[in-house]
Amino acid sequence: MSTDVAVKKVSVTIDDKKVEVTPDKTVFQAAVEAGIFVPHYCYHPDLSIAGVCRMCLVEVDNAPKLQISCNTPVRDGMVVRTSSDKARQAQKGSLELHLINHPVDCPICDKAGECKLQDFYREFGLYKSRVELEDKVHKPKAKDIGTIVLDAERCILCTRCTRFTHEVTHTDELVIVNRGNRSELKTYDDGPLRNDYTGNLADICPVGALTARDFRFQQRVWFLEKKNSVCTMCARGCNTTVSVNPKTKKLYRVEPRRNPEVNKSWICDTGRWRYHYVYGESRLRTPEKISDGRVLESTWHQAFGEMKRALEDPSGIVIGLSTQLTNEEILELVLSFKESGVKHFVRIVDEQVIEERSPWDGVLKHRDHTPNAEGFARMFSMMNTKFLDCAGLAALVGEGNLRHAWFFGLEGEDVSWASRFVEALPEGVSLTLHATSRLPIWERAQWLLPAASAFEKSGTMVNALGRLQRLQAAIPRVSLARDGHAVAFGVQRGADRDAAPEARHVDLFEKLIAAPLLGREQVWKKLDPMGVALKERS
Amino acid sequence: MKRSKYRLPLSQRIYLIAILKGMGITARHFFTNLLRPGRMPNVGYPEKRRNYSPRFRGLQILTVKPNGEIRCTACMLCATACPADCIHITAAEHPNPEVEKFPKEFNIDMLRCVFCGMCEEACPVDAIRMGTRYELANFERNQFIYTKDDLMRAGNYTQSRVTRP
Repeated sequence: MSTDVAVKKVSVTIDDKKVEVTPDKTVFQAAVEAGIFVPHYCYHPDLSIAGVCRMCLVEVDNAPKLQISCNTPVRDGMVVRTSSDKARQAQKGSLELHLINHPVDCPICDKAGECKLQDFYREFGLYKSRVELEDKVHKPKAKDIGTIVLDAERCILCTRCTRFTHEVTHTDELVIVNRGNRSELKTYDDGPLRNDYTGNLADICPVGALTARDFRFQQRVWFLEKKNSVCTMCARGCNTTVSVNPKTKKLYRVEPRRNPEVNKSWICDTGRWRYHYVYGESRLRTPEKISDGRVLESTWHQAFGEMKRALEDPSGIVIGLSTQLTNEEILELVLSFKESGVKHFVRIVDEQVIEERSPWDGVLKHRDHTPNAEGFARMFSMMNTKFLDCAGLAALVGEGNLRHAWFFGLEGEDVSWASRFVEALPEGVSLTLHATSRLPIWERAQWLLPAASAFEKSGTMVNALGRLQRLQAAIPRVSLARDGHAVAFGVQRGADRDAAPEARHVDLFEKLIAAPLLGREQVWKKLDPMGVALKERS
Repeated sequence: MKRSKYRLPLSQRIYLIAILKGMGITARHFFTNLLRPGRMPNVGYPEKRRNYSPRFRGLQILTVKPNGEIRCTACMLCATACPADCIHITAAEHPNPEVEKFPKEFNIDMLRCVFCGMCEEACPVDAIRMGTRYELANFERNQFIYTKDDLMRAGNYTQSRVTRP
C-alpha cells in the first residue's frame, strides 16, 4: 500500500516489548508484529474477526477485566501482558472449557500432530481433567460431506469454516445450529459441500473436526517433510507446500502457503488434489516407440539417437513447447534447438482461454490450466524468437516440407486443449511427445517420452499476475522420467551415455534469466519464497 | 621396534604352575557335577527349557477386543517410537463407522526388531504387547516379516510349552 499521507503510528507495549503499529490494528496483530505468540483458535489472518474462542485473553492496563486480543483495537501508550499469571490462568480456563466435550480421540484423528488443542494443552493447559467421561455430549462422527469428513464432536465452534464459506466462497454451506453445549457444526440441509475450495476447510480447522477425505489415514503428519513450491494447475500459481515422507519419498498432500499477494491462505481443490497423476496408472515410465499400432518399450538412448538423426535436416522439424514448462526449460530447449538450426517453435497452450477477458473465477482460479503462459511469452521476447500458434502450425503444415514434430512438457491427465495441436499434424509427420501421462489423444505419436512432473523438477515460472515464482523438486523423478534440460542435453549428444549436468536450472536462472527479468543479479537460493513481482511486459 | 627389556619371572616362564591351576578348576567342576548333578547350571535345551519371567520381551502380540477384532487403531505411535524402524502399518477406513480407523496391514520385521519394548510403552490402547515367545529362527528371510494375522495369533501362545528344567 502506498498512501501519500503517512499514517500516524501508535506505540504499544506488549510483554515489555515496544511496537509501533498503525491504529487500525488489533492487539493480536500488534503482538504478531512484535513476534509474540498469543494462543488462538478463531483468529485467522484472511478471515473476519469473530472473537468467539476466548483463547487469546490478555491483560490490558486499566481494563478491569481481561480482553480478547484479537478484537481489541490498539491505543497509543497501551500496555499489554500476554503471559502474566492472570492471562495464563484465563487461557488455561478457556482451553479447559474447549476440551470438556472434546472426545480426545487423538489416536484415530488425522489432525493429531498439527492440532491446536494438542499444542496448547501442552503449552498452556497441563491440568488434570475434572470432567467425568460419561458427561460428554455426543454428536455425529465421521459424517461424509463430500471431499471433507465432518466430525461434529471434535469441533470447538471457532467458526473459521463458516466464515470461510460465507466470506471467501460465498456459498454458505456450513452453519452452527442449536445453542450452548448442544451447538453443532452442520452443512446446510445436511447436503454436501458445493464449492471448489473445500480443501481449505481442513487446513483452517484448528482441530480435527474437518479433515480431508483424500489425506484421511494416509500418513501421520509428523512423518512428513514440507517443501515450498508453487501450484501448476492454473495460471494463478498459488504458493504451496508439498508434504513428502522422506522414507518412502512419496508425495502425500499439497497445501497452500500463505502469500497475501497471490493466494492469501487458500488453494483450489484442483490444485490440491490433482497431484495423483504423478503416481497414476497412465503415467509414462519409460520411453515408448509406437509403430504400426504396437507399443514397444524403448530406451532414451534410442530416442535420442533417432532425434539426433532427424536434426541433420532441421528445416523439417517443428518444436512444440507446452506452457507447463519452466522458464529455464523453455530457454534451454529453444536455445539448444536454435543452435541446431530449427526455426519453428509452437506455443502449446489452451488458446480458447488465453485471450479471454475475465479469466478469473472470482476467488483464485484462472481459466488457463497451464501455469507459465506469461513466462513463455517473456522468455521468447527475451530471446527475440517468434513462436507460432495453432493456426501458424496449420499454415506451416500447408507448406508441405514438415516431417517431424516434437512436443515437449505436456503435463497431467487433463490436457485435452492440446489435442488441437496434435490434430493439426497430417499423417506423414512423425510426432514425438514428451509428456507425463499416456492419454488417448496422444494415440498418433511415434514416440512417447516420459516427462518429469512439476513435483519432480525445479525452476521458475511467471504467473498471470506477472510474478516470478520458484518451483522446487519435492520428490525424485518417477522411473525414467526426465525434465526438459536432460532431454535437450540428450538430443544434442544423440546418445544417453553421459548424464545431464546437475542443477542446470540454477545456472540458467542466474546467468540468463535473473538479469533481464528482475533487472538485477539474483542468487537462486536467495530468491524470495513469496516470489518477485515483475514489471509489466512491454 | 625395540624389544622390551622386561622379562617374566621364572615361575611364569615355565607355564606349568598356571596349567596345573587351570586343570585343578576343571577337575573340581568335573567331580562336583559328577557327584551332585542337580546343581549343574546347564539346561538340556530343547527338551528342557528355562522358565522365563512373564515380563520377558519376545515376539510382539497384537491384542484383540472381546469380539475378536483387532484392538489396534493404527495411530502409528508404535511405528513412531520404534528405534529400529521395524513396524510398518497401513491404515484404512473400518467398515464400522464407530471404529473409524484400523490397520489394514500391520507388519513387523523381526530381523530389525531389537526387542526394546518401546512400541508396547507408546501404545495408547494396549493393542501391542511384548510376548514371551523367543524361538524365532527360520530358514527364509521373508519369513521374518510377521503380518497382522501372525501377531494376532501370537496372543494364543502360552507358557505351557515352557517346562521347568
